[in-house]
Amino acid sequence: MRKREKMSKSEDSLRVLIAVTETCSLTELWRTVTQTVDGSRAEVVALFLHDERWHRAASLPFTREISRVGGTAADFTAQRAEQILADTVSRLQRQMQQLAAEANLPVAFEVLPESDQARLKTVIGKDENKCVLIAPSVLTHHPLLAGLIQSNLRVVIVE
Amino acid sequence: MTADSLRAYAVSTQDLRKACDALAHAFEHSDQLPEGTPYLGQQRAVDAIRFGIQMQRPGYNIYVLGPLGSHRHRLVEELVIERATTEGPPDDWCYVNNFADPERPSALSFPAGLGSAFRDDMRGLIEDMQSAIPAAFEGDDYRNQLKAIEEATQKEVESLWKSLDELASGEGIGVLQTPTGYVLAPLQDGKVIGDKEFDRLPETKRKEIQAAIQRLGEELQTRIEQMPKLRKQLRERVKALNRDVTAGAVSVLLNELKEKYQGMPKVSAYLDAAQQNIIDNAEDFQQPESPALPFMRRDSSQLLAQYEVNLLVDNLDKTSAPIVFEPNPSYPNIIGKIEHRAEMGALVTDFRMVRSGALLQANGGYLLLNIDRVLSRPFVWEALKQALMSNSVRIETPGESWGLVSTATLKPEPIPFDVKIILIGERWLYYLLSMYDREFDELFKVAADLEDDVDRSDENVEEYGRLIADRAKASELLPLNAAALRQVIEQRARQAQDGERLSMHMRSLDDLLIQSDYWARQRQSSLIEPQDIDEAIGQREHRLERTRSRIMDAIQRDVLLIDTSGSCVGQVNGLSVIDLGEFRYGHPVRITATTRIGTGEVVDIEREVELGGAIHSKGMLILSSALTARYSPETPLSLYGSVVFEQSYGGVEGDSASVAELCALLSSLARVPILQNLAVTGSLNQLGRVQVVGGVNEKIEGFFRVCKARGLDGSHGVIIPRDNVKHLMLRQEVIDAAAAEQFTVYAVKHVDEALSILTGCEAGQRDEAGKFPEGSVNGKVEQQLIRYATLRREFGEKAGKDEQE
Repeated sequence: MRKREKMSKSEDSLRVLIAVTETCSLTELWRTVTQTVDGSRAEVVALFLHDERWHRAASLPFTREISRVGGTAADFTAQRAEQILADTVSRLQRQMQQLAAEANLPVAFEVLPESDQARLKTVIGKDENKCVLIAPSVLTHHPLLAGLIQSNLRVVIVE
Repeated sequence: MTADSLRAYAVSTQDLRKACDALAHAFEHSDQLPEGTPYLGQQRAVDAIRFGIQMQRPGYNIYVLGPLGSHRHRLVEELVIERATTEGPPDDWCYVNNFADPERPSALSFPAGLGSAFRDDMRGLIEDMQSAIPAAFEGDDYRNQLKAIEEATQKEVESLWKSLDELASGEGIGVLQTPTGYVLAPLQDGKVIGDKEFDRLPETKRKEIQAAIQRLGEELQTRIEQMPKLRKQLRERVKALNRDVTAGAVSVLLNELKEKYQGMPKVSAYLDAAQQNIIDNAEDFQQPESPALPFMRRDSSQLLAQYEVNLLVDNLDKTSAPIVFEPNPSYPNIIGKIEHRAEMGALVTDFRMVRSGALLQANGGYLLLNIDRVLSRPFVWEALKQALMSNSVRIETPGESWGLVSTATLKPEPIPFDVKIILIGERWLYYLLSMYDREFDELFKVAADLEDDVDRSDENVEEYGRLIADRAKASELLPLNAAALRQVIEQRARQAQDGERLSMHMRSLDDLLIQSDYWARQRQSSLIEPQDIDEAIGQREHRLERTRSRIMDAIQRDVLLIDTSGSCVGQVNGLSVIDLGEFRYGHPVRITATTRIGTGEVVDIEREVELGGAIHSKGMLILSSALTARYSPETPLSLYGSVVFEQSYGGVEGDSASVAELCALLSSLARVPILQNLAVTGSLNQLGRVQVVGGVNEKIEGFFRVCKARGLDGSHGVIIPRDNVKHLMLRQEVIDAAAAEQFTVYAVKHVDEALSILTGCEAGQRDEAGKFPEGSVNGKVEQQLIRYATLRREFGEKAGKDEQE
């Protein structure tokens, strides 16, 4: 009982970071979050790692997007890249809030360009021991996370 | 007319009621009598029913003709039971799903009792399937095989993408994934280059990149197009695996059933079809973890329901052929019905909701129906005939059978039908059907006509006594002493309206016995005695005689004018019978006639105002003809006569008043008064012969009751046809009055005899010269008619002269 009271203090709560991209599924990641938290007090921060390569590709006048469903090709413009980004962020944010509400966990949502290391450090905070990063395996070599995986930060890779 | 000659027509007291003195068997009460021979007097009907139920040919169904209360049902049931017990129980019938066409459920037959076994076996199979099939899908074997299939496909997919990635990276192109597709972008040092970097590249390099992207785009499209094929291939492989797994699980379960029912080809075929259906729909047995929407969750009970068995006819507990009596032969109760259940606002049905009717319940046996009820229920008669003609029962709604409904519904396979149908009903319905329904005679070839009464021979009286004793025992009534038994037999002759016959109307016999038993018990007696029979009859009449007492009251108060003394020209007491179904009684009615010169018309006022029935009108025409033939054969009948039932405001039917009507006319013509202390009944033929009438006992008693109320003085009496004497079964009070010479029943053969008694004068017979004696009634009639003819001729001549002038 005493332990629970101690854990209820905010400075002792776990900080769970989930790294997500435009193409990964939240379901498996969230399952790992709930297993990690396991009923204890925690705050969840979703890190949306924005793939800047789209924007560079979109700046080229001949770039086309080939549909995954039918194989049809269409111009891939900067406007289209922005639209995809906005839609994806909106969708993931909504899903995340819903999952967090069901698990009764506070959640924050951060959009990080892949080059913004400073912002990432700020999000992690000083106490790395109380922080867990959950990331899909496709992001293992992501430039933003590669360094963290090598650090002391506890990282859980989800296949 | 002299007293002696009058006495010659008087019926002796012995003939007024034929007493029962034939019971030779010595006994004190009815319990001592031996059991009677069954089906007394009904041998013809019994033979017909036995013939009908034994005849195994199409159309030999039976119609039992007999009135309500003749215990026709009991008779038929006894005979049918007698036959059915020698026959084994027929097949059971089931409806099962027709997997090829679920709207047409298949019918399966089984030897008696095996239908329920099959149903239980299929239930067991369903229960086993519920666990065995999911278990097979959850087993390691299945999972490993599924995984192998998925991995093989995944490898193919990965191989396609890997080769593309290698191709692209070889050209310095990166493949980027977006949420909806792929983007090919040029790389420099492993990073996607933007427009500025691209513009800085040499022209040739830029063109190379664009060409490479174009090429790789086409490669990418080719691979994307292969994806659906790979997915389909995966699905097919998984489906084949599912089929194999399901087949393995199901065949273990079904093989046992197939072996059990291997002697029944149709059942075996059904089991094969069920097995194939289960295998074809193997995926259905895998419940998805979470359906897209809650209501889309597949109910496993619905899935398995298609393998259930609808046992329509179950003869498990039967040891003989079924005998079914359907008291309410509505269409669904006879043919069967297809029920529906509400499901999400719609009415749905399936083979499990097909219900059998009496035809199928009686299949292989006997079905007893009341024809009046069959005919009064819509569509039933036609459906019944259709089943008989097609030798099959097709369960469908009446609307569908008449082509009035176009909604899609079930069309269950017709079930072969072999039932002996026994219709029970009134005679008039039989004759109507026979006349107006051309198919009736083809389908109901056996008529079993129950007798209404039996000959009152000594032998039959003995049997009838035993029958009464049997019925008293069967109803747990007190026994009857010998006198009471004889009295009941006499009462049964009265019920038959014939002293020489005994009524076979069993319900009225039972009522008499039961009510006599009641009155015997009321006086703490251990036996039913004659006084109890009298009490039962008297009390019953008392309960029913309201209208009779009103008529009597009206006569006594001179509201209804009936003279029982004196004499009057052109006025006679006729007798009529009122039949109230359960109660018949007679009462006198005044008939008057007037005559004058005319053109040969005898007017029936009842007919003129449409109160006279056809038979009454016929009687009047016969009367008119008899009048002409007798009194005016060679001269034109120059008479206008009119006859009427005074104070009669309802219909008049029958010809039993024709003698009275003729006597009234003759009295009017001859100016000879008719004695009002007498009443007369009898029908007339053209030759003046007096013929039998119905209700003679009630008629005599009706007039007797009026005369007795006013005081019998020995002059009162009733004239009846001689041929009706054998029908006399008068009440004891009438016989007592006759014995005391206070009341007389006269029997006549010819209207002249009636005329003589009624007028007290000789009617007179034609002599050798063809002349009636002068002063006789007939002579006066003839004279009057000749006078009318002469006057008419004179009038005619005078009128002719007037016209010429």
